[in-house]
Amino acid sequence: MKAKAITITFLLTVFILAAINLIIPDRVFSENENRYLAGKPEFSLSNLLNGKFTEDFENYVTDQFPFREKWIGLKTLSEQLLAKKDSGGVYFADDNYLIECFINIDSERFEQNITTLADFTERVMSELGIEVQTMLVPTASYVLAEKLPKYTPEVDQSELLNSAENAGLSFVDVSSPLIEHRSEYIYYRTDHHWTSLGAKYAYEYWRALNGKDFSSENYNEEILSEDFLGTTYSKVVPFDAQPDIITAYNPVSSYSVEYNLDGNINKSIYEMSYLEKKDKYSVFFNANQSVTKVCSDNKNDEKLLIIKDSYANTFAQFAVPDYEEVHMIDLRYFKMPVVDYIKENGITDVLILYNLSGFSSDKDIGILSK
Amino acid sequence: MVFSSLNFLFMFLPVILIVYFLSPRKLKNLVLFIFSLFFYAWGEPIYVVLMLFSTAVDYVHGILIDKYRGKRGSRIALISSVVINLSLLGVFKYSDFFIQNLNFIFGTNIPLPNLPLPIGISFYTFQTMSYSIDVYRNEVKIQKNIISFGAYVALFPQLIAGPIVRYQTVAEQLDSRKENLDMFSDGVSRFMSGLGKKVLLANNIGMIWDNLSVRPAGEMTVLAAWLGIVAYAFQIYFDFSGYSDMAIGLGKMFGFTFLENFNYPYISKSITEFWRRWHISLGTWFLEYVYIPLGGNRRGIGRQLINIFTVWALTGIWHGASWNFLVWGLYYCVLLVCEKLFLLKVLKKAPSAFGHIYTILATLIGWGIFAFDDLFDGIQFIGYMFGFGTAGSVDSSSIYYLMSNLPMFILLAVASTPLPRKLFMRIFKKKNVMLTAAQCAGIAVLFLISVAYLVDSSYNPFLYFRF
Repeated sequence: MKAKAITITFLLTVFILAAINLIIPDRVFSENENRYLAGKPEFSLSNLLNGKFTEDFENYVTDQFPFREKWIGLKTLSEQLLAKKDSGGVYFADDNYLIECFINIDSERFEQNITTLADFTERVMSELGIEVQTMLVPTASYVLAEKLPKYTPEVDQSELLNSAENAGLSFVDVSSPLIEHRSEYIYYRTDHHWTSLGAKYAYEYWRALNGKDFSSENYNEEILSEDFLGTTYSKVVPFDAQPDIITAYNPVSSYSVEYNLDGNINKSIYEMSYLEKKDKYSVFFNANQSVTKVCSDNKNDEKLLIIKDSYANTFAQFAVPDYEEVHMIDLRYFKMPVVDYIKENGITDVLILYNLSGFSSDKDIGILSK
Repeated sequence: MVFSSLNFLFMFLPVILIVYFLSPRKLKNLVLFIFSLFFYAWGEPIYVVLMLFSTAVDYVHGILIDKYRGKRGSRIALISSVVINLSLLGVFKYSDFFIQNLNFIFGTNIPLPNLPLPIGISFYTFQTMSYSIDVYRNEVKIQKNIISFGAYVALFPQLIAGPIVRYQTVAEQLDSRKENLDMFSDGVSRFMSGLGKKVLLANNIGMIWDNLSVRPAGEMTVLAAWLGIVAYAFQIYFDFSGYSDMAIGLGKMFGFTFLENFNYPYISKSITEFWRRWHISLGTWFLEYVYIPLGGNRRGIGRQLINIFTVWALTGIWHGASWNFLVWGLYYCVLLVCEKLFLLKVLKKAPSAFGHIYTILATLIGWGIFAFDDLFDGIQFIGYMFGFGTAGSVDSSSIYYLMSNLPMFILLAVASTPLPRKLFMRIFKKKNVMLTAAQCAGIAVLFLISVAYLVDSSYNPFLYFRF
């Protein structure tokens, strides 16, 4: 009886999963992981002989395995039961925070990126007489270090900020305002980004640093979503995740926004359709566009250019009413000489804004040397 | 293909189970043969020809050895078989190593062939040789059916990473085996425990070693070195013995009984005992086909020492074409000779804790030599373990690795002893519906968690793949 029961258990597991795997149609895109899943590889004799076919096929089976997210959640659950403090590059931190690990750093790449920024800063100053400021935003694993498990092998972000500060940049170190407000909701629990509130403190600090004012009355605070599950959630898919709240600080005054100079003028910097999808952070400024241009009714002749990654998308909402124009360039998609862009658009202020972790591995900063 | 992959578990396995059990008795070996070739060709679409060649060579040589039995031709056929098998191994595994050293010694500049190592060649050439030698010694009947012989050589459960199944072990099973429910369910339990060992234990702890072993020289600490080498020792044991368990389990499902390959090596009280418990099929092979034919211990102590030296030099170099493996083999040679001459007597008198500590320490140092292709890296690493060239004794990230994996380390240590098995046997000895249900639930949960790790895996290496 026992032998029969064990055999049946095993065979049922194998055959049921095999059958489901066979029946369920392939998915092209995983919203959870925000990437295209491997498709069935093309068979050819040369692919077979050089081993590429079987390798691709294995990736295909793994990617398309039914209930992929549930399996990842099951893995996370067993890691948690084993009292592991991190899994899949994410720490299980206090207060239900899932914080991205920042353990490995390509120091050479980091130094090189800093040098590129220093050269760019000097060039823009000598050619155009404009000061380029740089803001590298420390990530949650630094600002919210108190929530992390003890003794984590984290990269020392303060060291990175120091070396950026001493590299001849006009550097804006926002770690002190962020750390000051660390008990507030300044980073998402389930995503690697800062919240609008975190960006607001940094913006306020940056304005004050430049002797400029900031008034929170210029914005309407609105909750856009209460069930945001972000990128760190996707890596571990825990069954007990606590969704995040996305808050907008919508400028009160009127403005218009245009993406990639395509002639379509939008009345809102919030692209609400993303709230129906997984990747809800993209609601700010329509995800990441090559060029974004916002014109406000504040005709003060101040034109800000932000060269940026996605951290700037929450930050820029605050800049909208304070400048006549706010431009954003994302070097992952924008491949033209930035100096020319500054000249042609009459830019008066330039801010480079990246998160520190992303910046240290960024491969597109080199565009600034053009 | 490897057992711990979704392809194997949910494509290959269900199909072969259906085809095999629906086939008539006469066709079962053919089914095994064909599926095994597919299994091998999945990872080695070209070198599968090499395996077929080795199969054909020993099939023919077996017949020749038998035909000229008692005459000179028999001996010539045996020598021919051994030479061909060793040449295959020599060319595909050792040619780069050999030429590198030649170039180094004579300052020549012979280009390296850079042949990729065919998966499992060290295992299947040893198996086919065992057949020819056993036939020559008249210990087994020749296999006239080339399909059955092919099924033996290519048999997918043990093809890629052992155990090295000698022909005499399965000779009768090849032609007359009876699959049955008891064996199948035993096979299931065995396979699942192997899968769990590999996917849940070995892969998990292996990541620590991978992180720590690549640390720049200036950042190593004593704690990091110990943590790393202990993690490696656990990884290699659970990886390899897990694979053997899966092989033995799958064999049982298809009606084969292979010999055990591991017997809780880390509980040994001496290195002599360790090698009776670690990779048993390899030790047996060298004992049967090298040590005893060379005269073993029957020709005086001097000759015996030479024989021991030969066996361990070969054992070392079998693990890989690189100096560190040779040194690793000779390291054990020295320890074993010392034990034979006096150390075992000392160990017997000392408290058993002493023997355990000595054996574990010696094994860990051995893994230090084994783990680094560059001998000097290995020696440097062993130095770190004893505080030479380290940057302090502890560092915070090592403490983190230790704390975050403490339950895992304890689990691994307990799983390295026979305790869990004894406990299991005691509890599940009785026949009882509840216990059966619990056991089935256990198997299902183990299976599902393993699948979860496989779906979300970027890390699933097989350490013994390179041999």
